[in-house]
Amino acid sequence: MRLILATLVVFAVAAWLAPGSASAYPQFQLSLGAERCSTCHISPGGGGLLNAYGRDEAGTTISDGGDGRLLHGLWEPPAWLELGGDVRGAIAGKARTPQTEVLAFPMQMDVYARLGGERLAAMITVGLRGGARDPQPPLLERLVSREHYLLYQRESGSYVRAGRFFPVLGLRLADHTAYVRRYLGANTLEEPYGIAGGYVGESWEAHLSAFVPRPIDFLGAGLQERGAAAYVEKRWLDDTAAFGAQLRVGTASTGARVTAGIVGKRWFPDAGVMLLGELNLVRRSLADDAGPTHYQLAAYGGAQKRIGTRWWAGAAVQRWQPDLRLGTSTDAVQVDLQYFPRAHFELHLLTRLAGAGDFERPGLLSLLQVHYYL
Amino acid sequence: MGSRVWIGGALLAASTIGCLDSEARPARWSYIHATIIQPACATAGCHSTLTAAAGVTLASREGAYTILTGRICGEPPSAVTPPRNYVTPYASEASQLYYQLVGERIDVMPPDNPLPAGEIELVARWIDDGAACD
Repeated sequence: MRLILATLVVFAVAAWLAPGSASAYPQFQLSLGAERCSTCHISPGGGGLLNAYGRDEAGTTISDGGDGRLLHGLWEPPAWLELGGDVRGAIAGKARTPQTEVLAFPMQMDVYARLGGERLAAMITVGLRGGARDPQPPLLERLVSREHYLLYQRESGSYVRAGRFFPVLGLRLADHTAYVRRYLGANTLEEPYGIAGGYVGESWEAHLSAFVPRPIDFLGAGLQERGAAAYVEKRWLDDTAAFGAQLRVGTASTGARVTAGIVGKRWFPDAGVMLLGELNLVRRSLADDAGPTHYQLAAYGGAQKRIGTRWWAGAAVQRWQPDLRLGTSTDAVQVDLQYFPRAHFELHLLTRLAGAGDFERPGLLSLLQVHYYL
Repeated sequence: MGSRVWIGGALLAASTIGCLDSEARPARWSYIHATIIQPACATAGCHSTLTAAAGVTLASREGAYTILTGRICGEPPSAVTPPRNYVTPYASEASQLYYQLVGERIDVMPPDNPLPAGEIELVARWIDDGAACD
């Protein structure tokens, strides 16, 4: 009981402070015996609330210690209720001309709930938004629900859902500032409203979503687009390789963008290395003769190496080209080190060098995240 | 086969890099807001309507214009000096917006991902052309 109270106090304190967004770790797919994201997550697209298998994996395969169940197994909710949460804090150092800055701030505070029966359930994520810099707005103004939807799932793997959520697309990186998220309508709090359906099977999955803008601007940020998205993924080679293709069409008052992309993952079990890549081309047209139609590129390529049971080391490169006809781009090189000492706990050291063109004015970010999930 | 088509298309697109001089793009506010300011600055944690970091909201074309120039789209310039003039028309070298994008003597914006030089040049050209709301 004392541990439960302590945990709730930690959450309450973090709730007072935090922001963030929830997602999954794409390197876990294929590498740890889970061929699909929904093997460990309740959401058909992965991320957020873990299911019983995912919680068990957290204490065995991923960290090799601890009890991954809610509140470390001290309390079991009734069958109609599943709960979870993420608290993430960070210490960051930014080296940039003319000064170096050190920040300590809450990144994420989300509570997840699934309420319902075996097939039909309401999925809700409630958290606090915020930022790295003061002043922070009052607590009530920071309360936000980035996801809330009704979900109907069948054992066969098919599903439908309606409400607020991101269409299933791309690698689904946890880092919302990754260019393939940030510039493609999947930055934090850019979740639209919509309906979606799909199938998640043993060797392939497909998702089709239709979306409309959030009804109130204060619910989020980003372009107020309406449109549709499709993602298809096939897995091969004894579930060590996955290839996905995607298409997203969105229109807004300022214009339209059509995004076509590919996603790939390859796990090399002997080397313990996962390669991940995503490449997107965007056709951007502007309304009211604001300017010429142009093409954009957002790309991510990375490798993750599993070191022992509890450690992952990775490196990635990213590129964003806002107009392919020009010779300018923003690029980033990133290295990551993740440590999962016990179930529920994670330390993540991220270091990223980002710069435009030839890195004449580079920005160096080093971020240590402390992550606890409920 | 499908993957080859995609990769081929990507390479074809990438091969067009640098075919256009940055000056060929329109130095118009509607273009600059839609392609540079909104995607790079109006994010959830920064200058969205939701957060309005430093009291600056850059989400809408008209609102961002007023914040940055002190003018109202469609109306003649006021003789009164605006409270925050990030933009001094006809003088990019005297405009705080330009210095923030470049990161010269002031915190660079966006703080985590500096804009490509071509984007900054376009903003400077718009300012030097009078910073109209066109």
